[in-house]
Amino acid sequence: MYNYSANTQYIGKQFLYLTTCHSTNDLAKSLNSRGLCKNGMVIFTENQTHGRGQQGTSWVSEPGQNLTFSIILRLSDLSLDKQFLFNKALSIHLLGFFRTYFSNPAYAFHIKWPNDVYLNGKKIAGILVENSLSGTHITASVLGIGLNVNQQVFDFPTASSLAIAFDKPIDRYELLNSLLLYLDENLPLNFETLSMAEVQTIHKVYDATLWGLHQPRWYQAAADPFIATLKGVDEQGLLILETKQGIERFEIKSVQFINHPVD
Amino acid sequence: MKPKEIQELIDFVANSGLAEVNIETEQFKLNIKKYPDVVASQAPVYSLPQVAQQAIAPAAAATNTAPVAKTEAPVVEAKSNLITIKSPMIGTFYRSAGPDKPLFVNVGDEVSAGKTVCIIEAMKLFNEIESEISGTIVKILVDNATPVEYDQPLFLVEPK
Repeated sequence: MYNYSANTQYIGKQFLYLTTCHSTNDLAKSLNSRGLCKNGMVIFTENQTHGRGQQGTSWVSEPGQNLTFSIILRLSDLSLDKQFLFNKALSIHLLGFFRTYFSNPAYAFHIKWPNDVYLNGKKIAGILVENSLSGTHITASVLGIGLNVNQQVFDFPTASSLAIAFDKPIDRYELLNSLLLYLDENLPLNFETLSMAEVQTIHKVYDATLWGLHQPRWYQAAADPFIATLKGVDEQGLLILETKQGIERFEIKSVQFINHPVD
Repeated sequence: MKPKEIQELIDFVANSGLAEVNIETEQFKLNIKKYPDVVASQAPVYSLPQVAQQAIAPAAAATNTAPVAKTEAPVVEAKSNLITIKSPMIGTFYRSAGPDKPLFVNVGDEVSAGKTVCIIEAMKLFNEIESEISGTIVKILVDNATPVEYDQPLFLVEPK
């Protein structure tokens, strides 16, 4: 069994280890609503039976091979209009961890908009953020994180794992300890007190790490597929594409990346 | 953790399908384990409600959209003390946590302050919207999975 040993300030100070769990996010939300958790509580399971991705989709993970866990964050004074900034900060620090931990330039980690992590063009991690609101303030954020670590076979051609990419098994618990420590040290605790310069840095770094940035690629919106160039993601989280018509902005469900080479 | 919280946690584990729970903080280690015969019954316990929910959910959704909208209209006009729950953001309105999950609220349901009434999603960030008042849901003004604007009315609530 996993023994939590990272020397963190708040993340993982409460650690719930579950051999099996329907969904760590659902359990986290339930514990949070009952007041049974502190800021930074981690709920970890070896076998998530009903993991969720985006609304209606599922996150399927082979038992004992990967990392599936949730972090409950109660950030002080996080207003709803900061949620996209928060998501960008979370994404860049998750990415920052991978780039630091596996510091080998042959392995290219990127953020796939809005908050997946890609390694050499394939998805190895995803985040599902679920916020509890009171009025226009976020009282708690549950960050469901799924990392594909040692799984060897996937149902989707766009998914992969660290072990496949590095061609060797990865120590999951050491990876988890290091990740929690990294997030504990780097995630801003208060988004309301960030300086303009710090906010601009988050936007800039996020854009710079986007998968597909400045590359002509195929996209599909309402009608026929089209070639466009990704320019960034705006402050409302919208994808900015340069098409033949000029600059256009897209919401998450209104556009898809298509994996097909551009001639 | 206080003894009452530990008791609540044990109750929670007892009522869940979980076989084993280990909690570790700076102050203590807690290990809760259910007996193997309970574990053996875990699979059927999980699968039954799942199937039942899927079968019930579409029927429930179908019955509460059409008839409710018709019958509730005059009620809304007659009462002026109704309070509106509005959307705090631009996004997509969801009445449940997923297609196979039960609806958060229906017309006629009593809600208390702090009860989740819907989810508004934007850019894959899911926000659980809580009622800030206690009362009865009188009308649901937006269809499931449709876009909503900032400040758009979502529910009419008759306060207690």
